[in-house]
Amino acid sequence: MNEKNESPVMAYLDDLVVSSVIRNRVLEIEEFYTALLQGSVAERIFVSETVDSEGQRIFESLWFFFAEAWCEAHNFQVEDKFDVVRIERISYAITERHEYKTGKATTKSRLSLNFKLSNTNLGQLKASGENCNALSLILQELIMPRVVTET
Amino acid sequence: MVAQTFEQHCSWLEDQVPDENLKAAGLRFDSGSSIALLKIQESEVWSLLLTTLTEWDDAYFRDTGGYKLFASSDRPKLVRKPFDSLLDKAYRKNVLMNPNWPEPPEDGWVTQETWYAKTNDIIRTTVVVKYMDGVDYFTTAAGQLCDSLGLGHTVDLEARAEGYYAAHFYVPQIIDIPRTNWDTESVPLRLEIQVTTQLQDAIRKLTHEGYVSRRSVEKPAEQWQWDYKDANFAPNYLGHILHYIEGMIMEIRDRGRVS
Repeated sequence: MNEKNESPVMAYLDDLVVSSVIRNRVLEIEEFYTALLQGSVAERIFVSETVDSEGQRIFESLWFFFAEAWCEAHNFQVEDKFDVVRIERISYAITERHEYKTGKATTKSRLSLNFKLSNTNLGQLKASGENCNALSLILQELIMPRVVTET
Repeated sequence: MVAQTFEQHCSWLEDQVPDENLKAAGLRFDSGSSIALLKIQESEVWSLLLTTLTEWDDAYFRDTGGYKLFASSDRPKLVRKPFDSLLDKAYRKNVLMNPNWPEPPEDGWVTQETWYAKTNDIIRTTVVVKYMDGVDYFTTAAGQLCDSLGLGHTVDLEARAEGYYAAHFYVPQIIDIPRTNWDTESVPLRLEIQVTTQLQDAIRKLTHEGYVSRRSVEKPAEQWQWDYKDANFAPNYLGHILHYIEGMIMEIRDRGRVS
């Protein structure tokens, strides 16, 4: 991750290497969520993305992880469709990886994560290349601690 | 000039620079165009253009409600014109397409002394966009980039009878090239960026190869439009049909946005 003294959002965008168009859009949505959650600061963000058959990166959704809620902006480049959900427990999580070893992403790496909340809500995050490392950290640090133990 | 065939034209070209035969002129041209390629590759405008492609792609995606501007993520590559192709072009300009022949064309003969300035595609590249409106989107954005650097630019929208459709975007450059005594001189040259659509690019080879193979024929075939057995008939009209279909795709896409 970026070691410059900047917000987690900016550091993540620097690592992801995105255009100013995407960056501005992300900041605009962050502002919306921050206002919605009364000034809370996003602890982490994630851009769910994939690579199409022509080698082009396709951004699918934008996630903000706040202490009290997780937020997803669907098709965020062109739509204003914003979810907010309070996270207590996760009933299961499934990951699928392709040419990826934890922390060692290559340009060919792909990683996806599907999880189900204790209610019926589902979440899906996808990553390619270096972004797999960010998704792997989300799995370890945000998802796994919330997966419930079966009794 | 009395040259009428390609070979006669080559001999005539040799006579234009008595101290240099055509083979030596070819070596000098290859050297000069290699220098030009390198200089443009290292230029600010080329470097900025490559780094700004993603910005334009994302801006187009935003502006069109979810359509990609470019057909692939591959970066455009610069190529230089082979000497054979240059000779072919000089022949066409001086003889085949010269309405004043045997007098010089309106803007003068194309010779070893003038071919850098009078040939548009000595250094060129191709940019492939997905949709028809991407051609204008790209050339407008590239024009703004050139303006911001204080460079001029011109755009020609090509629509040929042979079914070739593309925008040719030109950026003027000054390049130091070798003279006959291998000293250098500064000559004007234009970087050509051919902007075409994905569908046109798919049939480009088909139509362009036909175009290349027949363009040096001494007597231009003018009647292919009425001869459905002519080798040019199908590929050329395919180019026109695809252009029409691309217009329809835009129409449907825009209609979808409105509804």
